[in-house]
Amino acid sequence: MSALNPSFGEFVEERPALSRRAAAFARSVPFGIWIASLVVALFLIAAIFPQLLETTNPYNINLAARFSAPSAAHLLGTDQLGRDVFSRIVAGTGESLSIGFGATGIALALALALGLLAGLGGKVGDAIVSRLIDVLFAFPVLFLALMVVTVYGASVTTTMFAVGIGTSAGYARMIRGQLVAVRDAGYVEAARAIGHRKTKIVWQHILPNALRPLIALFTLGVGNAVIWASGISFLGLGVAPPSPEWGAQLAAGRDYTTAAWWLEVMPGLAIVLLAVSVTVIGRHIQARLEGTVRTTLL
Amino acid sequence: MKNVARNRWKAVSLLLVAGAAALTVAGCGSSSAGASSANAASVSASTALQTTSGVPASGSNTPTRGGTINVAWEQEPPCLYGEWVQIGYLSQQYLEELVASGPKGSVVPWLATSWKVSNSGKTYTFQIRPNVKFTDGTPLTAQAVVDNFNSWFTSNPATYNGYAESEIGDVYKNAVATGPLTVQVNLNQPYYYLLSVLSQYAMGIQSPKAMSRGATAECQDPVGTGPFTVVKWNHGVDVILKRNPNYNSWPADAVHKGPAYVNGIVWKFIADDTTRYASLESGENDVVYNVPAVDWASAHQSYQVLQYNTGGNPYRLQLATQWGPFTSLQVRQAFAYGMNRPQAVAAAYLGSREYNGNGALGASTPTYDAALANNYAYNPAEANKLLNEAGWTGRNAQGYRTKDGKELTIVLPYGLDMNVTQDDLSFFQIIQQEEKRVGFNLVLQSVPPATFFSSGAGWPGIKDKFNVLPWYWVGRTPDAMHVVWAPTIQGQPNVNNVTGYQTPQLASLITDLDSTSSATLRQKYSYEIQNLVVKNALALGISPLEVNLAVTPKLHDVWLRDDVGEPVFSDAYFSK
Amino acid sequence: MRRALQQAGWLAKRLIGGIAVVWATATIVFLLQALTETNRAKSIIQQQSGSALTPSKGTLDAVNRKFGLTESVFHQYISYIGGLAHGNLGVSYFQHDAVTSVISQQIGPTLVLLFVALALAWIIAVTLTVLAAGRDNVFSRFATGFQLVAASLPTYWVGTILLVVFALDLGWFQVEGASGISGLVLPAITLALPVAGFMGQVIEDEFVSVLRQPFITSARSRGMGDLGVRTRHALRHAILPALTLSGWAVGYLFSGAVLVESVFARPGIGSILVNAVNEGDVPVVSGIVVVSAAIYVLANIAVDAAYVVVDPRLKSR
Repeated sequence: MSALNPSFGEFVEERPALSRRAAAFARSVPFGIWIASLVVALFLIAAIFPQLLETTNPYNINLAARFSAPSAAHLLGTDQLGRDVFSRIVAGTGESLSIGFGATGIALALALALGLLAGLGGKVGDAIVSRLIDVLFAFPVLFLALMVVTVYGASVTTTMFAVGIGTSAGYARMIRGQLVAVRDAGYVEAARAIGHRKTKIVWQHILPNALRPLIALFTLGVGNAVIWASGISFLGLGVAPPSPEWGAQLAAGRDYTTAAWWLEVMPGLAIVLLAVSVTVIGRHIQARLEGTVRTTLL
Repeated sequence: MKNVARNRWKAVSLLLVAGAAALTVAGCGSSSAGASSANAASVSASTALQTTSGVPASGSNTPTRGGTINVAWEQEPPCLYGEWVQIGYLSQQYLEELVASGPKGSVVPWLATSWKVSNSGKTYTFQIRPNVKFTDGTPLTAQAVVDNFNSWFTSNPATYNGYAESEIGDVYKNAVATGPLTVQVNLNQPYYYLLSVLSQYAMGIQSPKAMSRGATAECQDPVGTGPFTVVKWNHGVDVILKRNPNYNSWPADAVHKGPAYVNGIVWKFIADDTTRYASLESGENDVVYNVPAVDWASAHQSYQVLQYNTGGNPYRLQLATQWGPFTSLQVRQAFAYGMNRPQAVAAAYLGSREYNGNGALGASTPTYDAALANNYAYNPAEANKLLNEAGWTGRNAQGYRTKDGKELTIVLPYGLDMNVTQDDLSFFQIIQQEEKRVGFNLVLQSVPPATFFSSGAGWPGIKDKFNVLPWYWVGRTPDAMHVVWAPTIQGQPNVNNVTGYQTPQLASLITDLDSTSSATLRQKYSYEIQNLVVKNALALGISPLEVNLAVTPKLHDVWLRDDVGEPVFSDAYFSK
Repeated sequence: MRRALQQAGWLAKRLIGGIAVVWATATIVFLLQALTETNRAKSIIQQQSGSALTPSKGTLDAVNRKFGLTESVFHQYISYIGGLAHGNLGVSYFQHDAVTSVISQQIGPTLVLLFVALALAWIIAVTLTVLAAGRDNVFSRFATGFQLVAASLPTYWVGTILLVVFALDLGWFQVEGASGISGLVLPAITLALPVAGFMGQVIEDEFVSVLRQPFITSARSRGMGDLGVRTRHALRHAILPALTLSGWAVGYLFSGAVLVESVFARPGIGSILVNAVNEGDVPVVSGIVVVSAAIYVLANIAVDAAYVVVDPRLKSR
């Protein structure tokens, strides 16, 4: 919608009203993303206000109701101590998500530091840090996690750091690649030509453009981190009972799989559901940023 | 990313995956997990040692030659010779001791055909069985036996025998070959239980020639006189044992006198409980160790189930008396009253393990005091009263008691990978909730084994950081209590005494128990020690450590030796 | 001749870089372990004997001497790195055996599993992409959904379910860690699924964008069928990022192998690693990490070499 701007004599675009913009945005988001967002929102509620979603006290041992299959009374069944599985999954969301968020945060922070050093540190900095990133890559995540947990003990914090450090290599490489691409881009060259100071260029041009994909990376990373953390729990190096952390539930449920399949299947489904939803949202964000969103599908 | 998420279909496919997963797994598992405490079949009273229940052996009872036994064990040991009990189950197939553990703490001849004890009780003279050869061809002589003794008490880390040191290190002087087949073992003070110690799996006699090959060979491929020999160790998979055709040194209590009936054993390592038990159901294995509690009842419907309750110090909660809330006797007793141990054992172990309330001694051990079996029966009212008397009258927001602003926190560490099962964790969680009701905050903490033993003098290395430690020390006789309650071992403070409780009275009772030869007095001292331990709430019993096997009905005459319940396969045969 | 020299030079450069990476990995592992408790000899003997008794000085000295534990950290580091350069990874604290021997006995099954899983992942990802990418039908939506879900599957969870369903209940496969092909099927599928998921997404994105390129249109206009276009032209370009991802996948699969070997009771370095970490068997832990890093480096060099071969744009160099 163009109009003649009286002061400058140019054509400028008039911005439509906020409500129109919001409606247009809502329409452009595929239906499935709304579903995924709802799922993630539910998980977030479970993490922050578990009491809202729990049907009963997740720590309540009820020996009379052990190993009950899913039913009306217990939506997802009960475990070996008679505790309601649905409520335990809800209760475990907080710990699992905080490990997921924490680990991804640590991974991205570390990746940022490394990527910045490599991308903006000149040839020498790039060479050294790239080698460091190579070394991080060479460490299988679980191997590193095992060693960290053994030295520092098994707790939420150590799991966070172990997974965070172990998964940072990929992000570091991505950030470095972004920085290099942006650094050599046209508008940066133009800014330099105009005479802007180097730090100003970095702050105003390079960083914002290079870091924009981080949001998408973060959402993609959370699902990944939760899966790794549950792997560590599975090996028995996770948090101690009676924690309902999902990985711990999976580790415990294994022994009873043939007799009480829901103990193993349900927490795993929770992990998959979270990971898929978060990935879907992350990819959508990425697509938007790259301007490649297609709304032809619902 | 150019491809936009095809989200609705993603949601559907996810649901399909979920549904498929749920349906398939659900449709298949049996639902017998709800088995109540297993009165399945005829598990006998707790003073019995080996019980055989389940399905009887099938087919003809005439022994036949041939076949290979496929055994699925759990943990792969780091070496094929050593003092860990996990090694013992395996090493007893190819190593033998001077004497064999018989029932009720007795010993019967094995590699030693007879023995004499001097009047002073300080000299034992053994006659060694003639015409026995190690499987590498060297003869079993008195000197070979002496060489073994010497290797146990050296500082060579490869052969150093921690078990021997703990049990008889304080009393052992030397061993001498006084004849080609006569060995004299000299002690510097009488020790009534020497024979019993010598019968334990850690005291197997190896070929000195084989020992001289060095630590690696001794670890990978030890050589003994037993009914089987080690052929190959496929690390991470199994150990192949083959029959010793020249076997002639069976113990006096062997079911048959002769070499093994079967051609060999494939001893596999399957750490995962579900997979291991399933391999029995699928017929891939004939014998499976450690039936998961969840399958305990159903195992009795299809297999022979052998169970051995070890004696000595049972699996129990030991309370640290030197620091923290448990310095007070009242608090310890309150802790004991605040949980219903027999019910927790029944619920957690689903009948596969028995309750042993007496924390000082296992029910199958001679001189066990049955009157202590139900000590500190669940009584939350009493627990509350005692805690109030001890000054823990405050309550914080979570409901735990406080005193002078400090919370009543009890830390219980358990070793990762040290045979702590999901069932053990279930037991801890049950008592955790019960203790919460009377105001204790029982915190469970997992610790890697390396840390368990490290920093400082063993267990106290995690001192100040734990208040209750679950552990056991197996033995067949009451002198197992010596290992835990003696004030010193080899001149050092006894680190096996996790509780830190020590009085001259206890110390002298232990010494008396070890040295007296009067059965009546032994009984008396043992009773007094047990009562002391229980009265002071030092150790709260949970369950005896047990060995259980599920055996296919067509394999006859497998039995568990009254030592640590190690399986004996030299008498076993397949029926047609 | 010149080309060969160029290639040799490139290879040499990569190898030197690879050695540097392995050295750095070894150093990090050494430092991490050096941070653990100080009295290692006591810990070793106590764990070995299962007794908390403090061993006699003679025994402690013997262990200290055998493993060089009382020398200064710097000294230990030098002998450690020196040993590495000679292919000596030290001696296991508990198995009384050289670490190289311990690892070589068990690494075979892991490597087999790893590469079979990788191959399987490729097959799944490529097939799905060729048949489904860029199209707009039910199958293509299923393919995208499948890839998304597969990439989000926890390895041991899938493994447990597959084991229970196909081995325990249906009896199609052996339950215990079998050798041979049948023992590989379930573990390989378990490991392959997440990798196929990641790779599939990457290949698909690239594939779709390649399909829009002008040379594809001209091929079609010359009468080439759709499948032909997809396999002969687009695929070659599209798999490039997946090639790069394969390098990463080797590292990922090592982690996965630890979990899968545990679930399926398969022998391999995964289970040794977990035990060694729990026991504090430092030489074995270091050895496994260093060896896997070396394999990862070699795999990446191979991937880069393959990249040059596959990418038609680079051929002309």
